[in-house]
Order: sequence, then C-alpha cells, then structure tokens
Amino acid sequence: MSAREGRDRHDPVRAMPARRDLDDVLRRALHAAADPIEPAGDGLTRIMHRLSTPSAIRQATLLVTDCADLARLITIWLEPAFTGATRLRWRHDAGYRREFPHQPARAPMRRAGPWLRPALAVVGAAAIVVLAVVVLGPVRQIVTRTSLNTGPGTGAPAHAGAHSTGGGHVQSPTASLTRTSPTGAGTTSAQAGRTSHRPGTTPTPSPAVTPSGSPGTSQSPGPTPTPTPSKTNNGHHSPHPSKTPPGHNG
Amino acid sequence: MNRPLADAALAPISVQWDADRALTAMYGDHYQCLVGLALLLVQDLTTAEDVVQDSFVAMHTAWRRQRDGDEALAYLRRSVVNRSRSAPRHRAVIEPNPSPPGPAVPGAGLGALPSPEQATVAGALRSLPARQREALVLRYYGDLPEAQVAAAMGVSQGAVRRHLARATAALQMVVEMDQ
Repeated sequence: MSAREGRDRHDPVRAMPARRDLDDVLRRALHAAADPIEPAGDGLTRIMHRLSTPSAIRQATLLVTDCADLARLITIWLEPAFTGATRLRWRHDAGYRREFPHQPARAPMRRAGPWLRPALAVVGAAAIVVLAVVVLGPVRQIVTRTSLNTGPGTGAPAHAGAHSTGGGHVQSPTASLTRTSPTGAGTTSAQAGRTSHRPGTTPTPSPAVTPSGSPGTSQSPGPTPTPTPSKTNNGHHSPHPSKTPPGHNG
Repeated sequence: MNRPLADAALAPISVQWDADRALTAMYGDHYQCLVGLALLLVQDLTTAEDVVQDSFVAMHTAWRRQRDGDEALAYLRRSVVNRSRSAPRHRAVIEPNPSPPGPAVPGAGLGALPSPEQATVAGALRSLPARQREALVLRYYGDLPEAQVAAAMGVSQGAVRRHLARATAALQMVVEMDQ
C-alpha cells in the first residue's frame, strides 16, 4: 500500500468517492484562478529594498534609546543643582530648628506647599512638552528623511507614489501594506508599482517625490555619494549601503 | 520556473548558503506559487504580492534558524498564511471604505473562471470561513498533505480534517443546489 493510499484511507475527504468530482472541480478552479497571475517583475528588487530599509521597530527602538540617553544626560547635568537645592533646604531646616526648637521642622515648607506644588507640576509638564517638541521634531524629520532616502531612488520605483507623501509622515518600511497617501484614499505602493505592468495605464509620479533635504534620492551620477547620517551617534543605525543586489550571488 | 508549494527538494538549498543566495533561489522557485496562494487567501493581487514579499523578508531575517530548503519553504508558507490573515484586518483599519478587491491581471483570480461550475465553487469558496478556506487552498492548490497544511496553519491535523470536512460539505451543498 502506497503512502498516498494510506493517506486517502485516513482522509475523510478523499475517502468519499462521491466527492472526488468536487475535489477535481475545486482543484481546477483554484489553479485556474491563481495560475494565470503574473506578479510584478521587480519583486526581488522590492524585497531587497525592504531588507535594506531599517524597520519601524528598529527606528522606534533607536528613538526610545536616544530619549533615554537624553534624559540620563539631563539628569547628570542637573545633578549639582539638585544637590545644591537639597543642601540648601537641609541648612534652612536645621537653622529653623535651632531658632524655633518647639515648632515643627517642616512648617515653612507647608506654608509654601499649597501653591508651590501645582506650580511645579505645571512647569514640569510644560518643560516636558517643550522638550518633546524640540527633541522629537528633528528626530522625526531625520527618520522621515532616512525613509525617503532609501525609498524611491534606490532601485524601487514602485514606491514612488507612497513616498511622495512627505509632510512629516514616517513611512514604516515593514508595514508595506499600510502605505497610503496622507488622505487615506491614495494608492498603495504596490499598486503604484504595478501600474507599470498594466497595459494602458500611465503612472503619474507625484511632483513632491524629491525632498530637498535628502541627497539619497538624487539620480545624478555624482562621484561622491553622500549617505544620510541620520543616526550615527552610537552606531546603531546603518542604512546598509553595501547591500549587494542578489544577482551577484549567482 | 516555479515549482509547486510542496516541492522544495529538486534543487537542495544548502544551509551553508548566505541569506541573499537562499532568498534568490527560493524566490526563483516559489515566488509565483506563493503569490497565487496569497491571492486565493486575500483576493487581491497587490496585497498578495506585499504579503509574499514581507514573508521573504522574514525568511531572509530568519535564515540562520533554518536547517534546509524544505524548512525555509515551510516557513514561507506559514508566514504567507499568517500575513494573509492579518492583511485584511490591517487594510480595514487604514481604508475604512475600501474599493472592492479584484484581480489586477485579466483572467486571474476567483472571479474570472471559465467554467460555471468552477465559478460556483469559487463563489462558495469566498463565502467560507477563513480557516476553512485556508485549509482548502493549501490542500487543493498547494497539493500539501494534511501534516503540512496543519503546520502552515498552525493547527493540529485533526483541526485540518475538521476544516476540510466542513468546507467540502458546504461546497458540495452549494454545487448541488446550483445543479
């Protein structure tokens, strides 16, 4: 008994002769539906492009790491101030105790408490917001510029439509299924890429596809390509400039 | 030349290869079949291509954990099935009012079948629950045995048998009603 016969004996679907016709029809229908497809010819190029683009998770990790480093740096910078303030308060409390030994030690601070603590909270919140705007804005621009640089000009013209969105939208390289225009009604990247394979359709590149601050998108054959040093502080981020196309491997 | 989804041993891919070389070989052998599999699951060629490309990216990343070409192909199949499940959910989030999906290539897809019987089966296939459709597609389009279907779906073989039995019963009913 062959393995296929044994499999058929245990398979309730194949074991029913009445359903063999249905099996054949189903198999033919599925193959007739899927076999005529012609995937886009630049699939391998797009895969390699995705491999060379840093993922959104990696970018988020870098962002969190940078913010943590910044917070640690700020703490180190402000440590003398904290120490001085603590020492000043300790001296103030000690002098108060010497001067008024029968009064509670924290009385002066309690007087300032009702208005000082809300004020400090408001000031702290405002400082956090300002810090976030000041720090995260340029970081976000750098991330956006990085994704633009590795986008349309590096051998994957199919993504030109998606990367023309700009406007501070961070394009997630791994979430290729989610690439849409900022309005949410545009074509996806693969749709834009496939237009070149459809007869009778003319792709219309967006005029905003070349951001001014991204040298990586330039198509000019300059002798010195300038990689975008988006994150070079700790060596975490390398846009894989030496990625060789797969055709070289044979 | 694209080989079936169940066949990975004609040109053995060595684990000694680097990830780029293995990816190129797997792409040349199985890309079109995997796109066909994803197309049958997500009903949209654009999404299907994205799903398969993401799966190849994942395989490239996980190449060091693969032992041979068979395991890499199994990884690709499972990745395609998993991503085909999440892709429609993702698409529903980013496009609240999407246009009706359809095959981009004339003559391809479940909506363009020559035989009325095949069209009936295809229509019934679209109305099946996702797991039953996955089991049917993997079994009859990929020609995979139940064990590999179960591995690709991440369920037990018993669950695959149940899905297949229920799906074929539903299809049988639809075909009989149509006749």
